[in-house]
Amino acid sequence: MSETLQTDRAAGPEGRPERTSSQDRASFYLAGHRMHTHLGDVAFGLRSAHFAPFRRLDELRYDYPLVLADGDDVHGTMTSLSGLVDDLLARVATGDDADRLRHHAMLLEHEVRVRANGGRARLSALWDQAVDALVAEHGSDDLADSLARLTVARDVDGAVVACTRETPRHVVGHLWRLVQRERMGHLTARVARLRGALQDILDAEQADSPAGLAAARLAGSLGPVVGAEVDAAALSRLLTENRPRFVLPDSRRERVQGLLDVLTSQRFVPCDLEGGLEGTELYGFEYTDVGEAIAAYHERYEPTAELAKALVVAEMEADGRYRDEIHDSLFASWSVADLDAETLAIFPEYLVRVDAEQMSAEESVALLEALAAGIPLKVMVQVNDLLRGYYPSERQAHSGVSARMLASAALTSGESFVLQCASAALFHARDRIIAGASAPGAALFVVYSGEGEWLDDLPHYLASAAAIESRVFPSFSYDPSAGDTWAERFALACNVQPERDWPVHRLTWSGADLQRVTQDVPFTAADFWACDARLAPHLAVAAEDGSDGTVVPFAEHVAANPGAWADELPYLLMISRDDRLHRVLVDRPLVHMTQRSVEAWRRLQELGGIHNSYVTRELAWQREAFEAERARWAASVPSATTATTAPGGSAATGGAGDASVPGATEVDDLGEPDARDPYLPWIETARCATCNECTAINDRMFTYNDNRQAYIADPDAGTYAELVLAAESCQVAIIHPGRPRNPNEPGLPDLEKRAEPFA
Amino acid sequence: MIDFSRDGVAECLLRLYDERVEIEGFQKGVPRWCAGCGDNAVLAALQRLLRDEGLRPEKTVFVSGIGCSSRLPHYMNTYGFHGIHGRALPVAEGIRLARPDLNVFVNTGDGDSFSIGAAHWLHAIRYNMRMVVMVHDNQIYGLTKKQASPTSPRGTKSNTTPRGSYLEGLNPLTVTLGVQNVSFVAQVADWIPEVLYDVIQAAFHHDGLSFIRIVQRCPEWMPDNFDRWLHDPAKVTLLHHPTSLSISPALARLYPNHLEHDPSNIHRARELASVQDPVPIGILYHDPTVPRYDEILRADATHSGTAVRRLLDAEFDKFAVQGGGTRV
Repeated sequence: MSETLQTDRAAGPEGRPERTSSQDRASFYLAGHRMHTHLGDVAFGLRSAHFAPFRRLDELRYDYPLVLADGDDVHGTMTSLSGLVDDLLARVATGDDADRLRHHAMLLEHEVRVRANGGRARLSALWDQAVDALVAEHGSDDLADSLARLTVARDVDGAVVACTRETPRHVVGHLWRLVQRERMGHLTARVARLRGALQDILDAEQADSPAGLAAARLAGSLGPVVGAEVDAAALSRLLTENRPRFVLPDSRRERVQGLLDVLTSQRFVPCDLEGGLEGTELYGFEYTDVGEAIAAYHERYEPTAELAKALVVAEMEADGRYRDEIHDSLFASWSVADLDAETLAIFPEYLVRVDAEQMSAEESVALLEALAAGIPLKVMVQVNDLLRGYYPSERQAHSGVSARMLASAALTSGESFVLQCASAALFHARDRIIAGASAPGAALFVVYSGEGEWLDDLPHYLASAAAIESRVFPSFSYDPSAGDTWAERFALACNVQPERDWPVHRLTWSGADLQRVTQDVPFTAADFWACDARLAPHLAVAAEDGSDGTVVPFAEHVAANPGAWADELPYLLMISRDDRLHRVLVDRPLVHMTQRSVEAWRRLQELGGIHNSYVTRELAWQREAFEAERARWAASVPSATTATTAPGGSAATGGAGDASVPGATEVDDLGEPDARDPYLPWIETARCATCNECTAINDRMFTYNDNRQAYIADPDAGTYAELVLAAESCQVAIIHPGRPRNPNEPGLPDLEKRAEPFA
Repeated sequence: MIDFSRDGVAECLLRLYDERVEIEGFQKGVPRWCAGCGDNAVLAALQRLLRDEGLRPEKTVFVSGIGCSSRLPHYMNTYGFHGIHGRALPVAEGIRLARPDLNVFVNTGDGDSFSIGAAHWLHAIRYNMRMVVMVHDNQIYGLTKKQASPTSPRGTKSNTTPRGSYLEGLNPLTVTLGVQNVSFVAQVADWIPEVLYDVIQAAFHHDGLSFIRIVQRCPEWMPDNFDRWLHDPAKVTLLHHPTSLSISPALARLYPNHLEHDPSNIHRARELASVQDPVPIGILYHDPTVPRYDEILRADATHSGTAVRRLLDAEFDKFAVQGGGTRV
């Protein structure tokens, strides 16, 4: 869709025609030069029109602030404030005053959200402040009653985290610590148990020795009451004379003592459950420098191997399975080379949190090597500036692996857990962060914080969400422990409309004639970049009177004519601070940046099984074979109805007046189920009650005919999941999903099971 | 006069083409009913009827009261009157009398008609003025978020009946069939669009007041109420008769219970009206000979100016007036 605003150029001040605007526009597009005054500079403060509904973020309910709940429950520790309030209401708002409670809970949530924007704070403190403020402001008894009940019912407390620059650091650190605490707890318990068992062995020998059976010791062990009535000296003589004694072989005694020394002096975990250290200082496992963490790991390699060996031998000693003649030679050759991933999995792991902007080229290369080597580092790289290493002038300042590409580069090792996401998606990515922190071996979390003074006053949440949606910084994860295949391991989660190049949203605004205008507008990478003040030279505000000639929506330009000059300037829809809509023209460098990001996104899509070129090719072959088979099948069933649907009024207008039951005609509007192709989805159109359930799910797949009754216009316009959902939602159960058309769609076994009742 | 010249015929054809209004032409705005609401089916059937009957938007009026169903005039690109609670029928009767050239449709709900508007309902049946009255009976007050209505089944838990309603629901069909001058009574279900359309079409052609009870699902507030009918075709009996409706083979295959019912038999109609399992769907009663009040009023010259003058003259003729005003 292109829109011709006006192509005629007004006459110049001297009556001569002004120079054609084509040169000006070509100059701007190709070189970024403004040779003519018709193209206005973009003032800092314009932002994509997609942000218009989110001008006042505090008024909305969304994932932030997060509540990092107290306690050791890894999976239940992080929740959103909105989720917490919803849970609370589900328990409290059950009576006749439920509506009032909900209303007041929303007021309270809003107050807490506003107060949480200051940074980290305790939920209980913010909650109490919010309650006091609301009661003071409104002074209503009902409000006070509601807030008191909600406060009593709230059984969660913890840190409240707003979406700021520090959020990725806090969230990843918090979840890693919980996982680490659990891991260290297991090791601590094991060390304590083995120390006790080894000490028991030594104590047994001591107890059966002359010193252990001395009269004084026996009297002490009998206690004052019984000891007064027993002759300890006689008892000692009785026990020491004419009786074989339990004596440990010297080698075993030395071995057990040595094991005890190792378990006691190790610095990985406390040596008992009470946190005892016995004069040693525990190792630290949190770092802010990748090199330091790797060095610490290598430095502790020998102690790790020593402790691992001690644990194995101690287990055998405790069970009495150790045989000198067999195991001595075996363990004598034990070395660091015997440390495998399974053995290392019981040890605490290392967390490195570092800003991408502070990483040197050497450090990023070392990081990739460490990940490939399987060193148990959990590295969180926080990206604050996506333009770095991307834009020509910024690229010169950085020669290492671009932070934006770090996660993609880490995928190549295939053995490390990799997660890329942004602050806005951290809440939804919490299970994957926990999975990465728990998985044995290396893990890399690359998180964009949404930070940047160059992004105007865009909140971190919006900026980071926009980075994901615009495909500039898409979210994905790779978990080697999830399965053996790439499909099981790789997920393009947290991306909106992942099947598209860019997500499309419907925008509505008031036009120049004050009439409503509605358009489906993609949120492109250029929409994100356009918020960056450093890229303002690549943008120009189009004249409101349309005198800038032919313009075309940016996404259409990129799709149809990428980078080439075609006398049509691509434009974005942007809004100023007063919510006025502007068409902003974009030059070629920005078009190229956008193309680069969309090409990177398409590569990810292929990895995620979306528009995969191999699959598409295979699918075409299979479809060809399928169509041939279906044609044979149709030929063998003369009465078969091979049409997918009944589009148009003629097939679905059949009223009861056509024929009565006695002597009815053969017109069969509802179709004969037995004669239908079981592979194809279909709707009993004549029974459609026009209730909008299916069209609300996908109005390209489900469409109304001339009688406003639904049929399937394009079974490929959506997913099988949507077909099944529509079948389940249909009030009159007339939608039959058929069989899946895309064999690679996720969750097919479950979907097919759900589709069975509608076959 | 029709011009049979070549250009005249073309003009006539063009005019016919121009005057045809498609379904989209009758649509106005986006319905705000819940997804899955049965009201959508009624709206679609009505728009289809208007298109198929070639009704002009400016010659059609939809009148409603208050409630979910009563939002329907907002979505019809015709004349409409979203009236006051329970008073859809008096408004419609007024329109019928003042503008006999209009096609009058009334969309009302069970609460609107059978509770606050009960008196108007009974008398409208008795007056039998030509209009199509559709009662969207979802057995609940939906717009105000679930209060028991007169037709709610006993035991319905709602905001006004938290322990379940104590009384049996009103049967509007038996009541209507008990009113003098009743002329057309039918029952349909929104999820059987074929019969819904056919009955509304038959009602539109009826020369009197057509009363249609539309059993309508409310997936939001009564999600399970109609399941037994919706998912068990054996709980529906399709009525057919050579003088009323016929059933298509496909529909006959889907719903196994069919009953031939002569709609002129009011006693049998009353019997059928009281059956709730299986529920009868179709035209219960139809008598095109019942006089219409709007027709009587128009045919009767009693109130015409001439008649009034004649009556007055007759009265005055009883008196002889002489000069000086002396009566003799």
